[in-house]
Amino acid sequence: MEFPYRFAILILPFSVVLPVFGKPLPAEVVSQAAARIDGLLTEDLKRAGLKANPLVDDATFLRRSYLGIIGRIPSEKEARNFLDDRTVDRRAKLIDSLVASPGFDSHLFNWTADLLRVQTRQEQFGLGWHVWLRKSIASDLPWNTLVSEMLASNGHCSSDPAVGYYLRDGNMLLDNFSNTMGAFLGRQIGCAQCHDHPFDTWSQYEYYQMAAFGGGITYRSGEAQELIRKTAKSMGAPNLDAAPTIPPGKKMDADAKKRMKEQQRVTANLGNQFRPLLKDFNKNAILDDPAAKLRLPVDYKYRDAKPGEAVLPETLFGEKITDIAPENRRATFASWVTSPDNPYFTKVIANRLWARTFGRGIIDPVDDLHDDSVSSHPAVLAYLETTMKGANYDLRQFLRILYRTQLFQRECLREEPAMGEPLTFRGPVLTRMTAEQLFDSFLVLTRAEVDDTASPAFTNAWDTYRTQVEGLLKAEPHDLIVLAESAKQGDDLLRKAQADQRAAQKALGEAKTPEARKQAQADFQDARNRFVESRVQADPLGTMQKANLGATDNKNSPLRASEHPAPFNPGTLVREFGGSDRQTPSSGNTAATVPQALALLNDFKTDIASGKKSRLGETLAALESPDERLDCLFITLFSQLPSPAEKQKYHSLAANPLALRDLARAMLTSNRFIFIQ
Amino acid sequence: MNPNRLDELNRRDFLCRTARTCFGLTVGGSMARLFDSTAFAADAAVAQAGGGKAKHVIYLYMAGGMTHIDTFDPKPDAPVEIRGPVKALSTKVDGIQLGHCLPRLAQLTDKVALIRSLNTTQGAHAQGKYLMHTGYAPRGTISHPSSGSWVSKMLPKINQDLPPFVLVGGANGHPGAGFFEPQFAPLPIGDPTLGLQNVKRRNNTTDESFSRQLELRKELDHDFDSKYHDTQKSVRAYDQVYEAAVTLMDSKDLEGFNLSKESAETRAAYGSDRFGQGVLLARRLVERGVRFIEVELGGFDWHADNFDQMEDKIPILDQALSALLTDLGSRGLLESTLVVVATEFGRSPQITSNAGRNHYPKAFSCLLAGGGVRGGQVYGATDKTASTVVENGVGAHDFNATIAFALGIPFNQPLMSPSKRPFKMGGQDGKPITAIFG
Repeated sequence: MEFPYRFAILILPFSVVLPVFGKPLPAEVVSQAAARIDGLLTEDLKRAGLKANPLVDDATFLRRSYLGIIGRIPSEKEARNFLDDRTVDRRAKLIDSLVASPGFDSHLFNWTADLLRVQTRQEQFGLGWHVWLRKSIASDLPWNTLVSEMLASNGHCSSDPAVGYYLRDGNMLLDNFSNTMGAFLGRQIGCAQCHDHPFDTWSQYEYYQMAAFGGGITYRSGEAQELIRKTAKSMGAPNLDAAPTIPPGKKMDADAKKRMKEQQRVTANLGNQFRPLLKDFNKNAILDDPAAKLRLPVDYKYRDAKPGEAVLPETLFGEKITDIAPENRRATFASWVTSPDNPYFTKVIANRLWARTFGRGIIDPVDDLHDDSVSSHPAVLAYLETTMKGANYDLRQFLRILYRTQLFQRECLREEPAMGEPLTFRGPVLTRMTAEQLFDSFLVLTRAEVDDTASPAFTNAWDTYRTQVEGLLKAEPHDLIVLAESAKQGDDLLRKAQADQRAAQKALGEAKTPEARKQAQADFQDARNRFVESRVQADPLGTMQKANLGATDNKNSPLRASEHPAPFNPGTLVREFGGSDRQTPSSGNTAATVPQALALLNDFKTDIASGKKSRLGETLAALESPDERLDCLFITLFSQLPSPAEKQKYHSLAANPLALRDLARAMLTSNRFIFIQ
Repeated sequence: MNPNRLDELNRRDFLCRTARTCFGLTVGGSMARLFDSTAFAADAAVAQAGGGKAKHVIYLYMAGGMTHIDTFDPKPDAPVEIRGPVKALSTKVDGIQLGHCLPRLAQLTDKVALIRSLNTTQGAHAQGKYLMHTGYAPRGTISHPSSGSWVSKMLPKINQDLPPFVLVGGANGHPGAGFFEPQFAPLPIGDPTLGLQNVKRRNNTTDESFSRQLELRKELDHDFDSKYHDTQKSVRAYDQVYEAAVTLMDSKDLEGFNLSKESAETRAAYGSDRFGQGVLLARRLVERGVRFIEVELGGFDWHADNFDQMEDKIPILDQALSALLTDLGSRGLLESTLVVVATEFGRSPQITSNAGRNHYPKAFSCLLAGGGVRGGQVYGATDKTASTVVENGVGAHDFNATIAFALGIPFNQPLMSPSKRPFKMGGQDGKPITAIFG
């Protein structure tokens, strides 16, 4: 490295004059950027007459790092490795190794998928989007690229899985755009969907101008249309490649008219014939139609435009962009949203990651920013923006810098931050484990060692699906006709079976005698069997079949929460503890409920140290002395050795297996366990 | 700064000061007794207007925005591009019509009041759901309590062992206790057929072992709690839920959560789906003194295929609601139980090109029955196409004030948030619909 460059780094990490760094960031850049953040915080604290909290001890740091960075508690071995490490830079080393480990990907995926509301089992695209996002995060796809790929996505999910972002809200374009503004730009414009915004400056018209960037989106598959066209052509339908051209100023001649009519007739017929075979295509693709426009609602009541009038896209803030060619609408939108010059994009992701790391945003709430939002650390936030740009929107490297700050090592704030008041960060905010952190920590407790790497199951299922779709797209016309015929027959049988099922269900509800009930049940079973059979026939290439992704509540699964289909079902441990339902952005929560207490007190699935059947129970039983057992228990659950007072207090318990089990159970239900200090 | 926001802040500040000087109150603890039902039912004006008769609420929430024009507010004379294929049913009460997917309810309209004039300005799900539940629009500066938490806070418990507020099948994003202390948060039940899980001690656990475990829990948390218990509500919440859990485990009323105690006929009458069973669970809990039971039915957001979806979903509501009204009636509980059907908004009268309907907060319908509400009536009205409220408009705050009124809770009684701002069960200026009582 040449001198002036290095010099620049030392003086001004991530100043605007520096080029963007490659990855991973050089160690000195990371430590200097972290120091810069701490320096700016110190200045703010000084001005406010406050003192930063003291640094935490190694054990607290260890637990906070594992949970915060890779989303689970450390195993006994991992904990001991760190606690035995006496080197001076052990904390920095731990952070760097955790940030680079696969556990980081799993943990960040949960957070991102919650923000984006990924539902793995939504049609076929849900799985594709899940797999795409999981891979994008593991491979450090820069955040601006990731968002841009979603916003500009188009076509069938088998070729562009990012299209899940729009299909997630199929036929709900306006909601999708409201969420886009909230998730990536921290602006709440939802109110203006129906009327002029009461607290912000936006009018309903402006809302529609924004949503008009998606005005060309239709929820159908161009690929399916192409298949039909291809087949029609092979059957000799005349000249399907281009619509007859009409010379300017002239009418279409009779012959051309006839040809066009014929064209339309053949395609419409084939369309009907192919519908059962291709019906899933339209659920898993979007198609931009340059001619389609967003229109104002029919009850539009303001004077600036008429109800039902078409609206042209225009940006709401930042760079003013108008006059956009219809075919470029979403590409333009994607680059406007993710541009480093957008006044909110960089700030929002930086602030969101800060909130994820320290328990609360510098601006809070993180999804409701205004031009006049107040924060107690404006200089820090500005520097975080510069850092995000300098790190080329690499979330891993950006987070690494946050974890390397002194702030990350400080004791938690004693008091709960007041809502709506800017917080001065003397230390991080005390947080409860997220549901996924708890789920993944249970894996550590029940299995000792956890595999943090991504499970190949979803990727394999997705690849299978893609291959099937590809097969269909490449099929010869005459094969397509056979397939379509099979699908159509199967579909007819399927409909009949469905109708029969409904009828039987109705009969069951109305049955007055046991005989009638029995008959209705038998009819239902018969219809159900036919339904299952015909479903196979209706889907000759298996493209409509949902992959078996496993149950979300399989207690023997060794997989981390991120490797399960999302959302988890209601009633599972994850949902009981507030895991996201993937309905609204970042819906995961950490509120206490009575069923949570009951689950940790009484559920046999959470009984981690009961007798020799449990892994921990077995380990404890194998240890010779009560002291060793206490050490093992405290390290496993609290990531720290018992204090001398605790050693003395619990020594007698550790001598008795039943009493020791009760201690382990008590530890699991303690606040010390579920909160992250 | 945006002038509107400044006004908002000034207004709050003003209210804050006014409330402190005029009411001089921080309500809670022993003061809360002033507002218990007996005290308030004695309010002659409320009693005379027919309020204060309800002791319980069963609140059925249709999540996603239930179409009003196809259910509670049909418009058989509107053009087909508005009314679609929906037929209007004549009902037990002359002049009241319902959409054709509600044939059972049609036989019970003498027991219900339809409110056809709801309107709000929140057209997004999360915001609309929040507004309907709390009477306030969401703000970044405060988290408002939901109506169930207000009821738990304002009225004394009837059953000391069971939580006063139970939420069955609720999706995430329920406002819950808002700024109230954690004991006013709902007890969530995911699957009503499974009831409340894990209420029995593990079978290898003796009394002695269990109490030792609870004692050890406290001991292990001694240092942690001395740091955080008094200053952090989330920490207090965990200590509180463990206490509540242990009380519940010992309660003889736990069988209230056990649907298998019901006969097969009764269970079938409510419908075999989760929602129907949840409504039955609600009835069982009312019998055991739970104040407020909310049961959620999701999946009303039909931007496409509105009329196919309707045929599958609305009968679920029709069956459960009708079974509930009949069942409560025959058990003599309808007078003391307010039954509510609510949703976040209606659907656009104009049918979309996907045969769907979009969000429509400008006009929608809810239903009230029992708890002193006079049956066989319609309150409020929309125009010929169900697009605009033309009579007796009702806002979310008015709706919640009406629930308060039925229970004899002072809907306009401010309680102070921890940030010392006054909030009321009836929202900022909600007025109860007194005309439907008595």
